[in-house]
Amino acid sequence: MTPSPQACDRTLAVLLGDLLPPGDGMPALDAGQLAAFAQQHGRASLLATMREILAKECADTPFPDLDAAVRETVLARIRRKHLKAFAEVFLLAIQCYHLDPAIRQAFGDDPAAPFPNGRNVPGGNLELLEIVFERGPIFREIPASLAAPASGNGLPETTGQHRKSNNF
Amino acid sequence: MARPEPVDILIVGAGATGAAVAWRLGQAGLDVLCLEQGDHMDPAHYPSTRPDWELARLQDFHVSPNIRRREADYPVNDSDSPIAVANFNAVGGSTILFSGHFPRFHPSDFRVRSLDGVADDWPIDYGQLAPYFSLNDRMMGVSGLGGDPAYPPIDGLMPPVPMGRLGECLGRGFNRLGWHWWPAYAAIATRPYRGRPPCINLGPCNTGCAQGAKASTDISYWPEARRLGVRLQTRARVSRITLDAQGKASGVLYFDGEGNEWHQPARLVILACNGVGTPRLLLNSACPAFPDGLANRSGLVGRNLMLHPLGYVEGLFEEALDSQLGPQGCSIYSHQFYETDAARGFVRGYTMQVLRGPGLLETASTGFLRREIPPGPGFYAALRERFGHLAGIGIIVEDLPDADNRVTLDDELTDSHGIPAPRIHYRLGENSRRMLAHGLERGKEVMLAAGARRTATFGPVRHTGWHLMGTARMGTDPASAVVDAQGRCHDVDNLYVVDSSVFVTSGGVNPASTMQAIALHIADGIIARRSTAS
Repeated sequence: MTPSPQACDRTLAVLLGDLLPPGDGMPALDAGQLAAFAQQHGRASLLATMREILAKECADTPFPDLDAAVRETVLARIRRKHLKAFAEVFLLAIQCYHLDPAIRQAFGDDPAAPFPNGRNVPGGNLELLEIVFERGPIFREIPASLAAPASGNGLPETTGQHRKSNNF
Repeated sequence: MARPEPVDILIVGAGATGAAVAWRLGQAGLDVLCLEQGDHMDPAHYPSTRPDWELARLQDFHVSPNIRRREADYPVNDSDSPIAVANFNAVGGSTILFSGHFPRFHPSDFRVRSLDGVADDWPIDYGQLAPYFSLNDRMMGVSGLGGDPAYPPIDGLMPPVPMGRLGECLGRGFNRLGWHWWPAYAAIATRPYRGRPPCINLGPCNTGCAQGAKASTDISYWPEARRLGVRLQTRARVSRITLDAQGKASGVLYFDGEGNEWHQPARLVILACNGVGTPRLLLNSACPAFPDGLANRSGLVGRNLMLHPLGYVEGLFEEALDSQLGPQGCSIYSHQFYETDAARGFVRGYTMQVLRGPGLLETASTGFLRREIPPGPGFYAALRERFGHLAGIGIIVEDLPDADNRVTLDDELTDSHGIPAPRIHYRLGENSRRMLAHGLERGKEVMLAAGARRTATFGPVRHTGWHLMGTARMGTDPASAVVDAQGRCHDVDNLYVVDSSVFVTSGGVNPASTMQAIALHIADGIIARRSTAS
């Protein structure tokens, strides 16, 4: 029997609560929000696959009805057995989750787009370079005998004039 | 659409070198048309204008055309290479996505056979290119700091991009080891420059610069080239170069945006399609006179592909470095190990390029995939420990030419116009492997000297094949080179190559500055020859 949409949402909500648990100032990732995000990015099938896996792994008791400790065991098993599917769903979840301004702010990240305000970055202490400068040149000088012939690129003299005058 | 009128000079590709050569020829008053398969980009739609900018890097601004799959892209079969090709197809080409890191080749890079007994010397040298480096710097607008002991004097720089806490922290690490480091050279305006506003540290330069501070050529060279009368036709994908009865290039066949095929006649053709696109076009232009590909009597078209294998060293620091802030690819760099020292067990050398730390999403994603950030209750603490606390060093190793590393045409894969896709055959040479291993170890030393409490290294990193070089190499002998010192094909004297296909060796630095300088040098040769002929 195909689970109802409500049951699916509940499964997804409990799953997300386990993967990205709310609390300590961190909001929950809403199941509907993730479903919409997945739809928008053409990846709804990832969630469907995970629902199927959860249904198979929890044939006796639906995943949302299990104790937290049991769910943790189930998820560890799924991660081992279905590594790709588990990783894809988790990565999808954090892609969606990181868009929440509250999450960004909680990590000290600016939730606004970088443009047009930009970001402040200190220039740094250029005096640290004195010691590097004082050690002197480290590039290899090329002996004159190894230089390409004067105008040895075959260019007519006009280019040589450019070179002499640097008048571009 | 009317039948295309003949043009004097036709350029294929509007990227880094196509733009530079177009401007220079336009400045000389020549009749120039450029065909570009991509379109104009709109900076108002670059990812940094959106809060979800990190997602765009996984999708339509991904560095791989095979993942990005924009209309302008062509597929690349890179399944036979540990390094995947990275590029962008638009007016501005790959400079739309490049980090703007803008070092020059060293003088020694042009004399590797004489100095180190490997590969070949170039038929040109640093001294000849010096005025073109300067000219290109002026056109692009380059920031950095004079007095760098790793280079001959470089003038005219804008102030360097801010190194930030990250750069300062790693700079102290380099100092503790007694190693060279210096603020990065960047094609990023740090003050108003030729109508462009200064950098405001958006961060993801490698998804396009919405500010317009980074010198992608759509906003540096092209506006000036257009003012000089150079014509630019977008959504024009060239499939073949045509020859006349005398064996000279007579123009190109191309598809317009509606899929119609046209012949564009031209008296002189210049290829600026990068180290993969150019050999692809030459090979696809095989004809009875050139059954193995146009201008390929040497058999070297597509061969000697060099990719700059890139290693990555990551350091996790206790202190907050705010490492996610600042131009992503530019902070500080080191050339401590750039020149050959035989005691290291390899010849030539590499750049250590300090990279900014990842954004919040990338920190979480990579941390999870490496099992350093767990799902569940430990997620937040582990993410908090890493975000803004990570530093990266890219190890860019000089890749020596190897004839077996090559671009061919794929037997099955084609682009949307039925043109065969390029296929990459590439293996890391032993010298590159040793150099990469050496660089990863030295990078770890820097991280630890700077105070990192954990380090990780890996390489070569797959999606880093930006630097596509060597596939139509330059040389004086037609038997061992595709083009001469002027970029002119030995086999077809009115066909030129100006992109990094002509590189004889790869150096150990990002090639954009050098390839643009070479393009300007070639342009002046064309101008001079035209003057002489008339």
